[in-house]
Amino acid sequence: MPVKPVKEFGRAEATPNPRHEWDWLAFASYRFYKKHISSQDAISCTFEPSCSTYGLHAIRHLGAFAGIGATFDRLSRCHGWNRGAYDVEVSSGLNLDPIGLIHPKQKIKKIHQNTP
Amino acid sequence: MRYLTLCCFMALFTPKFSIAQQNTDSEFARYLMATGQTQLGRLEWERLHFHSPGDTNVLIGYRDALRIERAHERALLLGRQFLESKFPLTTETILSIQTECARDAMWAKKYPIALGIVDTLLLSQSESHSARNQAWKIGINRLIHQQNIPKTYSVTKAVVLSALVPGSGKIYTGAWKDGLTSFLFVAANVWSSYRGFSTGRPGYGYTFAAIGAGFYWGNIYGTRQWARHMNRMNTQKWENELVDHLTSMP
Repeated sequence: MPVKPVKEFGRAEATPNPRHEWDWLAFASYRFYKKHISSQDAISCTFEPSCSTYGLHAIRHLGAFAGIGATFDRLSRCHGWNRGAYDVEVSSGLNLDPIGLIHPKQKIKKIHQNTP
Repeated sequence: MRYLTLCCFMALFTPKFSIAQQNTDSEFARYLMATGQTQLGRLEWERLHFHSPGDTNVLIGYRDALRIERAHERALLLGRQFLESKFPLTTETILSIQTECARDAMWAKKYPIALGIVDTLLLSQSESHSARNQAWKIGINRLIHQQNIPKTYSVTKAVVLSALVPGSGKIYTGAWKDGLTSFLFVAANVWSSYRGFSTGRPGYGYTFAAIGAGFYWGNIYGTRQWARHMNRMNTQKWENELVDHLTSMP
């Protein structure tokens, strides 16, 4: 059976979409956090991409309401007990959890499924 | 004279044109499929199948195109119609088409049909009552009729549980560690908010209330997504097991 591909999303470091105010806010928060807070600390997130990048992706691709929910959910999943629950990236040893894994916005075109 | 020339032209070249067209069209359909133009490729294969319905190679190409577009029901119908037609087919061809039909039935989630095809396949073999065949049939029966696999979680139940007690929905879906963490996060923020309000510091209260509300909403949303994710994964695992078992048919 053809394997359903996990949808890949773009880079978080890309410029925000100027049409969405939430995107600007999320992007500004992300940059501030990365530059002034996260850079002063060691890497402690157990996921790849990290929770801040995931939050930016979530707000960008799921919208503000669902994106904030997905971000808080990810923060509550980011603990040391989740070894084995996800695929692991070999080089870094971190759990792979891109936004498309649990939130696959796949609209697979099903043609003629009900054709007699 | 004009009409005579036209008739001569048609008599001389038309059959060659049509043969050439038919030959190149098969290549063209393959080219379309190889370059990712699956819809056009499928249409091309469909046209070829209409022109030469008894051609097995065209049938295989058309079926593959339908499979790529996940139209497994139609692929199953195609194979069955081909078998029911009166084309002269060798026994090996019939067996291979039946096996592919069984796969299509699996992928289209038509498990009783798949089981029927499997029964036909087994009966067509001379040693259908051998111990190996019977063991294989028992295995596939067990997989199809097993009630617990795929284990599906009710998304509504998980969401309601999460709304009532934060984290309980995730515990219901099997992720008890995530559920426990969610509960601790929500409870800690609610407690901090309560302390802030009760000690006359509403700033603390509102801040922790907002963070707690975020965790509460995130827990509900994440539980919904996680339950759906687990259902998808379990179903896929079960389908893979079925297809593997079908492929290992004796």
